[in-house]
This record gives sequence, structure tokens and C-alpha cells, in this order.
Amino acid sequence: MNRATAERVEPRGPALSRGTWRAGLPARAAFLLLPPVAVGLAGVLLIQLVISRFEISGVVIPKPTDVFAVMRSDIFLEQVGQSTWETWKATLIGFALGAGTGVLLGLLMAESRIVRFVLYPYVVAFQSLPKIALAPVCALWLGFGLTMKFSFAAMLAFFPAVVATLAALAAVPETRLEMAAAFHASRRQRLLRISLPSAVPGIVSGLEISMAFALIGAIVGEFVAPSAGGLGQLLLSYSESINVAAEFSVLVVLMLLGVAQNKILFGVLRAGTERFFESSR
Amino acid sequence: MTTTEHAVELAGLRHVFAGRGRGRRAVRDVEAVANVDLTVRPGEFVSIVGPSGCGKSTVLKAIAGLLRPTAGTVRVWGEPVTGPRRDIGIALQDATLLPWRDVMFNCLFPVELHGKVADEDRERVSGLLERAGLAGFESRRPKELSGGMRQRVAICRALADDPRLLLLDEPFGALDALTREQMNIDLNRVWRETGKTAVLITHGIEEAVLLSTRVVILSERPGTVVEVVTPPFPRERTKELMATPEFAEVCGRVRDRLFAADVGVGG
Repeated sequence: MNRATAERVEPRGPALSRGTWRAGLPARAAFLLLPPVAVGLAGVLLIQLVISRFEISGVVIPKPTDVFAVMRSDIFLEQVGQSTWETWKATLIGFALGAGTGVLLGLLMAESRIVRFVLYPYVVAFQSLPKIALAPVCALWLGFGLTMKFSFAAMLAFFPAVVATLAALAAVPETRLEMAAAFHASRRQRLLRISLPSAVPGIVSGLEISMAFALIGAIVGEFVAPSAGGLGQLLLSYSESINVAAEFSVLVVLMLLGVAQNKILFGVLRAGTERFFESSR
Repeated sequence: MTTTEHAVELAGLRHVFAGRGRGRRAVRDVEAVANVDLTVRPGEFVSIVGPSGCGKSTVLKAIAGLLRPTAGTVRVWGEPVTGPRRDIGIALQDATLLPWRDVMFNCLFPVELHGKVADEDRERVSGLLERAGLAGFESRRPKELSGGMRQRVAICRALADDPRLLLLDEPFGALDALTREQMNIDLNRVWRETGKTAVLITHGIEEAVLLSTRVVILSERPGTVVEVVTPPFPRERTKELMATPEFAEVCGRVRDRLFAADVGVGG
């Protein structure tokens, strides 16, 4: 009994427990962060030196020090704080909607040949459509606010989730399914205890792409909607006033946001799949 | 009636794998099993041996309810087989353990499919693991085990829900000879101590003779029963037994029949 309870605490999940987010001590994390940070700093330093040496105009490429100065100014921090939240809100809602329906649809298509046969062509057709072309119609239907932004995010997040789920479920080893059948597993048991756990690593990589795409979708939405706010509009307004250093500052913030949300996604997924593996056994 | 009840009863079993396509690319129908009659009595250990591709696995899958035979009847404990049954435990060529579960929870898999896992189930599995030489490995993941250990876990899993009938499809096929011998001795002990009825598919003659109360020899495809050899040994089988002339003699008889079957159909 003791062993059983002690062992329940262990993290579970196939590829999830491997490499990517193995829990480590802060010191270990700092040690692992050192090389990429060092390379990044060296790159920034190199750019700084090249710009100074060849006297390149700040309108073409701003000096990293100028970008840094902008990023430290109170007015920028104030503007960017509000905008980042607006963009991220749209990204999250869009990701939840798009990836959620995507995973669900992938599941349905994997389980039912008829659903797959009927719907898959439309999924592909929808994906081939450049989403930006939908901007005028979307603006007409949804206005220029949050709804339009998260709709764009959802549209971009949808496809990677569908394809990854479908592929991951199709790749479940045949022997595992046969084993489950031999032990008289019901269809539901097979799906919950064999197929889904086997597919988790594949679905997770799909979600990772979906989340990055959702951010792109939100920015696209902000670009086309003059009153949408967010980092997209902030970028445009800096561009109009030819404040290139501030533009680059927004780009840096966008990158940081992308990395941060990726980390958060994995943290949430790890907790979620652990619970799932606990309940599915 | 129960005294005469057979664990397994196959009558006129025939199975044809349907071909597909037309013209030059067509895949023809393959008759895997032609006509197999076989009964397994409770408590027996029956091995089915035969040349490669003679439909041994097909026979086992028909018993397990994983495959509906083209013709003939399959009965398990007197009832016609219509699909997988709860009271059958099965271990296949590939151990197929679930990588996200530890040894204990892999073994409990069939138990939890059929209801809540009780403490007595855990105790039974602990006992099985101990008998299989896996005590202390309950919390290990499959990744951390050797191939032989994984197969032993698969056999424990097959026995976990306390089935009346154990079906084994070449469970030691991928192991080296030394490990395999040890596994056979272990399996014999588990079989004796649990009192199960077992059917083993194998292409190892020594393995079949060492483990079985009866060895059923199938012909080349399409498989039929050529002969049934009854090794005249007590239920407890040891490594020493394998060194005796009697053991070699029985193996020789099985081997002769196997080759005769081979040539008889091929020539």
C-alpha cells in the first residue's frame, strides 16, 4: 500500500516526462540557461559593434542600446503592459477555441471513418485559404474588437491541432490495440486507456504549434483592425511615427511573450496530463 | 456434465484470409488453417508447434475470440466463442506493456478493465510477480526492464485477472536461448502453482516438450493436426530433465513428424 501511494506522486506521461520539462533545481535551470543567454548577448553585442563601426542610421537598424533604453522608459512600459495583455487575451481565447475544437475534431475523425471521409477535405480546404483574405468579411461580421482578434487566433490555431491529433491517434501501435481487445476492453476504455495516452506526445507538439500560430493570428487581427489595440496596433503606431527603436522593442516583447506562453502551456499540460494518467488507470 | 467439460474444443476449424484487388496486382486468398480438431482438458498445458506460417497464431486468435474463423466451431468451457472473453488471459509475441504505467499497473490493466481494483487483486499480482522473479520491480517502468523481464510481466498480466485459460503466442520468441530456458522453467512453476489451463504457440521443439502435457503438431499451410505427442514426464519440469535421453527421444519424435509434415505437403 505504501509503495502504491508513494509512487502515485511521480510524474506520469510518455514523452512529457522526458527532456523538455523535467523538473529541476533552480541552480540547475540557471546552469542550463547560461549557454543560450550567453550566445544571445554575444549576438546583441556584435550587432551593436557593427552598427557603430559602419555608422548605420538608427532609422534602418536601431542600436541595441537604444532599444534597451526605450524598453526601460516608463511611457513604453505603460503602453506595452496594457497592449501585451490585450494581445495575449485574444491569443489565449483563440487558442482555447481553435485548438480545443481542433483536438476534438481530430478525435472524432480518428474514431469515425465516415466523419473523416466527409470532413477532412473541408478542413484542408479551410487551411489552404489565406486567413488574411477573410479580414474584410470578419470585420463586417465581428467588428474591430476582441471578438475579431480571437477569431483570427482561433482560425490559425485550429489546423495544427486537428492534424496532430489525427496523426497521433493513427500512429497508436496496433499491438497495443490488439492487446486491449484481447482483454475485452470496451471502445471507451480503449480510447481513454490506450489511444489517448499513446497519442499525448503527438497532440502536445500540435498544441505547441497551435499556440504559436494563435499569437500570429492575434497580431494579424490587430493589424487589420484600426481600433483593436494590442501589440499589433502599438507596432503600427510606432511605425507611423518612425520610432524604429520602439518598433524593435515591441518585437522583443512579442518574442518574450511567445517563449513565456510556450513555457506556461507546457506547465499546464504537464499538470493536466498527470491528472489524466492518474484517472485513466 | 461439468466433469466432462473441455477447456477448449476446436472442431473442423478452418480459416481463409480474404485476398484483395484484381488482375496482376491481386492478392490471392490464403487458407491459413484447413481443418483443425483439438480438445484441451482443464489443467492441461498444450503446445501447438508447426512450420512457419502454418496458422498456429490463427488458431490461438480464434480461441481468444480475436478472429472469427471461416468455418468450424470454437468452444471455451463449453460455450461458443463470439468475441474476447474475460476469463481468458493472453500474452503475445510482443510484450506490449504500456510505457506510462509501472510494472504493477501494467499487470492490473486487465483487472481494471473489468471493474475496480481491490486489495486482493494487488496481492494476487504481487504474488505472481514474486513467482515470476520480479519482486521489487513493481514500481519500475517497462523502459527500465530487460526483454525477458518484460515478457514475464506480460505473462503476469495475462494471469492478473485470474483467468481460467492462459493463451501464449510465442512469448519467448525474441529472447536468447539461455534466458528462454530459464523462462520456461519459471513458466512451468507458475503453471503448476496456479493450476491454470494453458495453450502455447511455439516453434521451439524443446520448449514445447519441456512445458507441455501434450504437443500438437500442425502441418505446413494450410494447417491440420498431424500428430499429438504426449511427453511422459511428471508435471514438474527441470533443467536436468532436458539432459535425459528420454527428453531427447521425445524431441526427436516431434522433430521427425514436423519434417515429415513439411515434406509431405511440399512434395
